[in-house]
Amino acid sequence: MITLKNVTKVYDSQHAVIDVSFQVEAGELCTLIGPSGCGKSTLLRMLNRMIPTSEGEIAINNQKITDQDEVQLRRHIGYVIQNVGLFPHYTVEQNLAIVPKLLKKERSWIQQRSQEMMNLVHLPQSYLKKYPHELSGGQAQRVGVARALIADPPVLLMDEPFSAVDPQTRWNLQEAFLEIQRELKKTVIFVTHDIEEALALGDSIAIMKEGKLIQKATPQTLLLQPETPFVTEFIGYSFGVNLLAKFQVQDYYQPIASSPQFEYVSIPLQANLKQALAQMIQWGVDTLTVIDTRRQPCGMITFHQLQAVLQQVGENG
Amino acid sequence: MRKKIIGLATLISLLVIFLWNYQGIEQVLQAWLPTGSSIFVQRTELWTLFREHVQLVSITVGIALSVGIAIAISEEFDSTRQVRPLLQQLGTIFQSFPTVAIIALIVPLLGYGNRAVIIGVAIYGILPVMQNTLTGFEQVDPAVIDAAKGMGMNRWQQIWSVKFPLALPIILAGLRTAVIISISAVTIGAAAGSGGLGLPIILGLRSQNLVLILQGTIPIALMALIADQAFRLWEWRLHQR
Ligand SMILES: Nc1ncnc2c1ncn2[C@@H]1O[C@H](COP(=O)(O)OP(=O)(O)OP(=O)(O)O)[C@@H](O)[C@H]1O
Ligand SMILES: [Mg+2]
Repeated sequence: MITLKNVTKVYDSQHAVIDVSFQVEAGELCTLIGPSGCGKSTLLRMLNRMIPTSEGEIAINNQKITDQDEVQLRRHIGYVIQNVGLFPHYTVEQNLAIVPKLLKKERSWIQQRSQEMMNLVHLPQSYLKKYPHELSGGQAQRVGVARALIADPPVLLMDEPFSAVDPQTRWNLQEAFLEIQRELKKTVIFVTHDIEEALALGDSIAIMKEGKLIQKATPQTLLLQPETPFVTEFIGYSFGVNLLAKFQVQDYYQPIASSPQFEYVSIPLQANLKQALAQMIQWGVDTLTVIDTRRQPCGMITFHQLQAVLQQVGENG
Repeated sequence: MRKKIIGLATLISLLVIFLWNYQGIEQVLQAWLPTGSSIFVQRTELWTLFREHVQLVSITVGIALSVGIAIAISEEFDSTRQVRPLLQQLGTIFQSFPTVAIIALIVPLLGYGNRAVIIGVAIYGILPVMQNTLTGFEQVDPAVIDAAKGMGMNRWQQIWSVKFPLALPIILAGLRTAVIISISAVTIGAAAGSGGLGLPIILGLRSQNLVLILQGTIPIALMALIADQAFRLWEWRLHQR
């Protein structure tokens, strides 16, 4: 759990972060977004004391970060940055071993964990012997994530980690990271400047503007209960549709035992609601037949249900 | 790679041949070259002069290396970041100073002899080492330093595990300059009372004895070439990784 209370950062006379308070629960992935220069990186770097706070208090798992030695603190927080920062003179294996060595872990432990990490980020074991310059951008970033996770820190700080790669690689990295997060349930603050990425990854989204926190809430709440017009403007008109992509047809369709009359247009059980909506728009229908893996009809889903999903989640969001 | 090693080996063998067979070479040279009025006779063995020269160079470079790197590292702990431009400037000014001038300034302070020469030449060698170390540290990718710090490396760990190894090729280039400067500056030091291969040159100049002059200049030139080639080879090896 990460708690920020009235956190402020002043550079000379410029206010980079102004009176920010919010909380990220254990196991929550919070994406932090806002226009360039709004103070995202500054805020993130205050959390591991790379930058000292001017005012306010930050606590990680109810321990004030200023009560701990800053070097020790950082060894227990995963940190991933945009340019990866792999040591070019170290092999992948040596890069992975950096934090465990600082924590005085045994060699056999490090070796075993390194192999586990390679599996976790879907890289072949043979890559342990490679140097960073032999990796693609996406592979390097996977190593960056593995390096941050190897010592199993409860908290992970990520500053635009996937923004330096092409869209396809980026999408793959997001998928892979979501899978890891579902398994490991870290407390994560993830800075991004891409609202789609913020939505795709975030259990919650914190929106900043000119050093201030505008709203931190679940995507549903941002959509239905924005605190200011800026929020609506910032998340954009397709936010709701993109939000549908986070829900699966199989969780919302109506199973029908005795089918009265199946619609011609179908959608697989494993598809998401955004894809269902696309089908409806494309074919001009408001009801889709849901088919299972054997391509047999097993139920239906309607346009009103999709609408209801957005409304409904807004209430418990 | 092979060419470079062969070149270096050739230079080393030339130097060894010159030093071991000087007697013979001298006789050949004396037959062809003016030996002037031989009032001054070189009595010290060439081999001894060479050893003295190498010793002086090693000592001065050792001092230059440790002091130069120490200054650069202590600069890393200066959070105001205001000393660095000062050091860089000082370096540039100092390097436009001729070596003779520095030795000439130090001799009145410390008197004739090895000590003055060692200190004067060492001061001269500190600058390239310091400047290159500073530059090398500066050129390390900031993302790498940021990551090192963010993972919980302390200041020393950042320097020894990250900055130093990554700056090594540039530091070596500085060391190469220091060694070459030192080889030539120690020669001039002979005028201030230190030994070394500068001695026959000075005596040769006074007596217009070309053979004596060559006795000093040939091994000095070979030493400088060998040092240069050896360091370039080392730097090149580092780049290969
Ligand atoms: N060391 C510094 N000294 C003075 N001002 C700074 C410093 N670092 C950042 N700032 C200022 O603080 C503000 C916030 O910077 P920050 O890097 O946190 O923005 P950001 O939201 O991460 O931007 P981006 O999306 O471009 O990465 C900016 O206006 C920046 O100019
Ligand atoms: Mg930033």
